[in-house]
Amino acid sequence: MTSTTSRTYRPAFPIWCAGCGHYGVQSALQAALRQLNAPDHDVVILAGIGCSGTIQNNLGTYGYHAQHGRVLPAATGLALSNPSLTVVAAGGDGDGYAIGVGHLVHAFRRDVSFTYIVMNNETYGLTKGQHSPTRAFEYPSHAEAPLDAVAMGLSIGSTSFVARGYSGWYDQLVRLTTAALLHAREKRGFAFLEVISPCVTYQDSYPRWEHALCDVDADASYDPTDRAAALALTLEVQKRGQLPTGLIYRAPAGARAVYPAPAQSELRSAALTTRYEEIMDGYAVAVDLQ
Amino acid sequence: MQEGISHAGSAEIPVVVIDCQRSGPSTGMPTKPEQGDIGMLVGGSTGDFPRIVLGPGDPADAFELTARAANLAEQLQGPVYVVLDQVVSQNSATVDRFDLAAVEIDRGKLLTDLSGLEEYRRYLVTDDGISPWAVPGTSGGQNLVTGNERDEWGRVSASPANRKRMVDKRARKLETLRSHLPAGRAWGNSTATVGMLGFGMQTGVMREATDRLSAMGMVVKGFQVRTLWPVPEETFAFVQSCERVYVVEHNAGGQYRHVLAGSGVPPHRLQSILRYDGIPFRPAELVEEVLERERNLR
Repeated sequence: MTSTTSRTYRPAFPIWCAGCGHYGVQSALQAALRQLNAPDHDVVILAGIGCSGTIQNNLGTYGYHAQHGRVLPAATGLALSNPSLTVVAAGGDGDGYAIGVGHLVHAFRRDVSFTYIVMNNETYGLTKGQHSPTRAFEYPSHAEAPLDAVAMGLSIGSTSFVARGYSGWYDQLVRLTTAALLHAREKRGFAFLEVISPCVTYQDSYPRWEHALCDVDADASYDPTDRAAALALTLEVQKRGQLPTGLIYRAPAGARAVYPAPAQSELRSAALTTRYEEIMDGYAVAVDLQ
Repeated sequence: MQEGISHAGSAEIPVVVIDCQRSGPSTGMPTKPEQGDIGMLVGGSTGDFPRIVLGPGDPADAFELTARAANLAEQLQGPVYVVLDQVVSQNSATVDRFDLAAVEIDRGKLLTDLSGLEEYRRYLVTDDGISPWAVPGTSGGQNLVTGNERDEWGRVSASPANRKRMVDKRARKLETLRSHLPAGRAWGNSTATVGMLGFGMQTGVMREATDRLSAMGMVVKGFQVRTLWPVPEETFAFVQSCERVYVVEHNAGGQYRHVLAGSGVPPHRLQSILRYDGIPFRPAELVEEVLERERNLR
C-alpha cells in the first residue's frame, strides 16, 4: 500500500491461536485491498468485541474498536460522513448476531454502501467457548435453532449483496472479499460477507464444514441476481444440514437508485446558514406601525 | 447510553449529547418535567474520564450553549452534555434572530496536514493532556481508536505505568479547558447574603421570584448556573458570598446540591428547595417558600 510522510503506528501481529480461521479472513482482506490499490489513509477497518475484534490493529489503515455489538452504527455514520472512504466493518457472530443483530437488520434495510465481514465460528472464543447464536444446540429442557444471517438478509427487500465464504477455501474468499469491497465502493449498497471461520480451540468445526457447504459458485447454472431462487436454495440446503457458500445474491448494477446525500451529512456551513435565514424569513410578519 | 459515554471518554471521541430530562425513574411520568438526570450526567458510567455538562435556561441560551458545546467537545475530545428539561426543550418563545455569523467554530487540535510531522501518535501524552487528532481520510494520520486502555500509538496496553500516564493525561484535559467554560448569570443585589441558585427551567422562575422578594424589601440575589460540571470557580464564589443559598431543583434528592457539596462548596450554606410532582414552580410559590424559611430562622 502507499507510503506516507509521517511515521505512524506499526501494525500488530494477530493474537489468534494457530489454525484460527481468522488468519484466512485477514489474508483475504489484505489481498482484496491490494487489488483495489486503496491507500492506507482512505481505508477504515472497524471491528467489534471478541477475538475477531482485533483485526483492525493488523493492517496499517485507520482502525476503530467499537463498543460490543455497535460496529454497524459506527460504520454507517462513517460511510455517510465521507463517501470517499473504503469502510470495512468486521466482527464475530457473537458481536454481530447476538447483541448487535438489531443493527444488522437495519443495515440491510438502509443499504448504505460499506462492507461488513462476519467471522462466524459458532462460539464465543474470547470468553472460553460459550454457545453463540449460530450454534444449533439441544439443552435438556429445549433446543435452540441457529441463526442464518444470510437467509435473514435475503428476506429483506432492499438487500443488495450477500455472500458466504469459508476460511478453508482461500481463493474463493479473496474473490468474495474483493467483490464485496467493490460493491460498496461503487455505491451499489451494503455488502454483507459471512465467513465460516472455525475456532480450533473451542469449536473445531473444520472437519464438519468441508462436507456441509454447498458452493453456488461451482454451479454454472446458478443465477446470483435471482433473490427468490437464492432464498429457495438456502431453505433447500438447510434441510440437508448444509449452508450455501459463494456469491449468493447481488442486485444487478443499476438496480439501486443513487440517493442524494442525507441531510445529516450536509456540512457546508454557508448552505446551512442560507437555509436558516430562509426559515427565519418565513416567520417574519409585516407590521404597519402607522 | 452510559456505555457509549464512557467509550467516548476513553477513546477520546468528541460527542455532544442533548439530554431533555423528563420525570423518572424509568419511564416515569411522560412527559412531565424533572431535573433528575444530573447525578447520572455528572457521575454516570464506568471509570474515570473528563466530561462537561452545560445547562441552558431558555431557547436563545440553548442556541448559544449548543454551539459552545460543539466547540468544547472537539477541544476536549470527549463527551459534552447539554442538559435541558421538558420545560426548556418545549419552550416556545419569540426571540431575536440568532446571529450565525457570530458563531466561531473551534475544532481544537484537529490535524489536517501531517506532511511536516516526523511521526504521529494519536494518544500522544502532552502537558495540557490534549493529543492532536486526525480523522479518517487524512494522509499519514492512520491511527487506532479504542475504548480499551492503550499506549500513545493506540495499541492496547495493560502496563501499570502507561495506565497511570493515560488516566492522568485525560484528566488534565478538563483543567486545560476550565477557562473556556461558559459563565453563569448573576442578578439582584450583589451585597446580598441570601441567594437563589438553579439552572434550566428554574432560571426564569428564580428571576421573577427574586424580583418580587426585592420589591418586598428583601436583600437577595440570584445565580443561573450554565456550566454544571465541572463546578466553576464563579459558583464557589457566589456561595462563598452568601450565608444561605437556596438551591432550586426539580428532583427528590437534591442532586445538584450533592454535586456542589461533593466539589467542595460549603454544604452548610446550601439549602434545597425541591419539587418532584411534575409541575413547574410558580414564582409566588418560590417567594412563599423563601419567606417561610427565612421566618423560621428567627
